[in-house]
Amino acid sequence: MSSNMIMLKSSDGASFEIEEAAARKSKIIANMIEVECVDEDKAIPLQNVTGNILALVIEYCNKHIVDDDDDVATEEASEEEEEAKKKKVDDWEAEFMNSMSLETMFELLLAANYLNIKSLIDLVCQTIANNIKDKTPEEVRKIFSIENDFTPEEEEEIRKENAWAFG
Amino acid sequence: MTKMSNLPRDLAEEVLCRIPLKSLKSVRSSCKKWNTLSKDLSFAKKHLSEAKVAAAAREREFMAVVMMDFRVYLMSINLHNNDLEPCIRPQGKLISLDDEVDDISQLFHCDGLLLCITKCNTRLTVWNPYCGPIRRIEFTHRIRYSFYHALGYDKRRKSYKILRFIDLDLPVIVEFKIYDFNSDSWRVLDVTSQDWRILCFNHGVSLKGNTY
Repeated sequence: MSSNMIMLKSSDGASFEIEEAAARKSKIIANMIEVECVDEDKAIPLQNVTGNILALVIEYCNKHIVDDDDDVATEEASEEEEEAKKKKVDDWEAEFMNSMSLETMFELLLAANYLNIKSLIDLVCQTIANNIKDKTPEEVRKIFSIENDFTPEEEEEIRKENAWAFG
Repeated sequence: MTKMSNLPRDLAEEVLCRIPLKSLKSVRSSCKKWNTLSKDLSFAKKHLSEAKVAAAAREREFMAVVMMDFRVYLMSINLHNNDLEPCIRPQGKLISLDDEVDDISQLFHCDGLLLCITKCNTRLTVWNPYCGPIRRIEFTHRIRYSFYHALGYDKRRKSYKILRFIDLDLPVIVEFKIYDFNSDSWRVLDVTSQDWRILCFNHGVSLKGNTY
């Protein structure tokens, strides 16, 4: 495993050191490394990501770097071991997402999108979606600070359209 | 402050397509933007594929609409359960705000549309379980039994149609009528069926829009 370190710089000027293998979770950074436009002494500037969000992204990448590198080893690992490992990652992800506010989730999602980290996009989207599950329209509006822009007539129309449902 | 509305459309879609069908109703009723987005064809495809992935992750499950005791249920079916017996679990049952839906006697399916017929043959309802809109067709006939219905798609006229036939023994009445969705009207079919009869237990099936 390469232990090259890479420097990342957030939009508000904070610098972070990260292992190359972890940084490669981001397709954008991986591409930069491929085309060798990364200077070892210079930090990669990430204009769209603030320091506190970048810290979360790095935490996520560091946690997941191990799993990918173990791919060869897992072939021999027993099914139970694999399951136990998956459970560990799932638990960590649940804990990780649990600790943040909805606003942070949106920012993290934007950052993951900008950095192109597919698995993190999936995780954040799923977590936000879980927040909407089993909620009434009023609750959904409240959670996402959405303004109700329907007229009463339109609202009635929508209600009729959705009158039949699997509940 | 970063809000859901700050997300670009593709990311909002990415989030919303992970919401289970049962909760989409709330999303649609929350604001215009989401109502439009969640009815978009590309969104529907994304939503379905996401649901399939989720179901596949749960050991190759699939969903089915089932009729039991005059009610319509959404069931998840799992025939490939590793440790357990194949199982069928109810996920939800059809509920309605305006109609009585506990007396459905026939269910016919075509292209994802469901044709529901009430027990006493008073009304036909066609429902799209995905995006909601329903069409109610009232009955005007005084005969209340021996009706058979089928739903199909007319490719030439780009319209869904309902075929209804009445087959009574005493007095012998055989009548074929077809309902056109575009024109919202019934038309009598000139079918003289002396040589063949459709037996009442033949409910028919629909495949790719053709009804047999």
